[in-house]
Amino acid sequence: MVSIQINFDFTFNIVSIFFGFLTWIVIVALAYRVYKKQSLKPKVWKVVVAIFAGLFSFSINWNMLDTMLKLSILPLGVWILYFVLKRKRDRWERYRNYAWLGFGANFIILIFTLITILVHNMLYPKAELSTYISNVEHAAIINIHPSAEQRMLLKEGLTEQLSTMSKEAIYSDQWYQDTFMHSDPNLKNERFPYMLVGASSKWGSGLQAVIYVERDGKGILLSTPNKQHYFRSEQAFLKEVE
Amino acid sequence: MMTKKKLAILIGFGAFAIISLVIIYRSYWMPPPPFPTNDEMIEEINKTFPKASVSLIQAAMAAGDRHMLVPFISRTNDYGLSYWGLNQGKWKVMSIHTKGSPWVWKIKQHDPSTYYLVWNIAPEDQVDSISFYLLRNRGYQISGGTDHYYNPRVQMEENVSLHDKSYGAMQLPNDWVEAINAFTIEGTARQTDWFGNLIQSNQYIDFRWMPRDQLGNEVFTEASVNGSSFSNGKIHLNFVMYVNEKELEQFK
Repeated sequence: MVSIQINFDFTFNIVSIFFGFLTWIVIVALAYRVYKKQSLKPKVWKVVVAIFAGLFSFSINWNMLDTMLKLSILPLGVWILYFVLKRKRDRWERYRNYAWLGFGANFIILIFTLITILVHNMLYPKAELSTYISNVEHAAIINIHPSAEQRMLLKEGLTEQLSTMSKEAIYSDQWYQDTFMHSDPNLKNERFPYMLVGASSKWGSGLQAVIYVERDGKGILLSTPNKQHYFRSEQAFLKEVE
Repeated sequence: MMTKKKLAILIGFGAFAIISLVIIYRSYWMPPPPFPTNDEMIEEINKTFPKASVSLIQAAMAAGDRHMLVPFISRTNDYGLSYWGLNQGKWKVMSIHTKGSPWVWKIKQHDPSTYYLVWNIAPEDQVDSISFYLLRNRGYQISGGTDHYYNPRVQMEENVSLHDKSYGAMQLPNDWVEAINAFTIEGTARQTDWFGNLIQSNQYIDFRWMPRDQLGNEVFTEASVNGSSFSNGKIHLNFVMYVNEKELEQFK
């Protein structure tokens, strides 16, 4: 048997990378300001340790729009560092500001995360088809159910209709029941017997979805881990294969 | 100026580095040595798991560069499977099954393109072909009263003939690999959040098999099931269950 390499399009989130980078620049800049003001300069690696210690905190986590957010409440790391260093008065004095900076960094991270979520949603609207299907150059149809026919993807047809496909409601329970309407319990007609693979999402979105295609070649069920969206087109974008 | 203490540390580090390099080399870079001979393999399997009582090695099939499947016949005329891998430059047996009903061997646990369907069916079961299936149940979920989620039924089929050989090691078809990768994406965030939405995952994917006779009817493989096994604990094997006609959807 011939073994074929399957390529994973590793998609990354450019917004998150950009603001993540910015976050650390801000933290390093603030640390540098503290450093300049000190007459007795501490060793740089100790500064780094102090900042990371300060980052450690007791926090509340919650999920907003598929992202984990962390609100720090208690500066546990600062307190731990204090107890470790308090024996020599001047030692705590030297690293105190860095520890608090570390704790404050939690809030800087939180703010930039919120900004990231906002910007990301603006650039890559999650309920739009073109966010998830941006390039169909390497896309193909695979049959996932025996009721699927031999079909080919009409790449131009799909690309043209991406922005005009209408968003429709999903009646998951009804779709589920529909398949049981036949008299013979084993003759089942799957509504979405095709899957579109190899399509890439918008560059820099870091988003991935499973794309099911409807029997008549005019419907797309976009399936992401937490939500689904359903779209219908005017023209079919699947073609019969002779 | 090299103090005694610094010298000791340097030597210690040097020794550590050299030993690490040797281990890494033998694990990843060293070209695979030739397969052991049949006699060597019989000896190793019987030594590791005497119940196997191998009398004849049928073949040594490569599964990727660093693994191989070795089907065998035992002294009691059972058709079994042994799974081999490289450990520090030597071929070692990782698992042994005394009977050869199908398993999925996941060489890299999370990479479906490295999965192999393996089998060794006793001829007395008179199996002419095997149909393998990739199944996922149809389902739906409504959360919060408005968020609908529908899982289409997945039923993909691949057939193999047992005409020439009782055994086989087959990589998953490309379509199956794509489908499994897609379902992994779907399944990534199906946990609860603080608001209690979206809990269970009905993303469960199943590998199943149906042995068929010459006329295409289901058969029960008496002689190929219910064996015993050995595992070194470092191998990823998933059992492949039977599926019967009633569980499969047809469309005509």
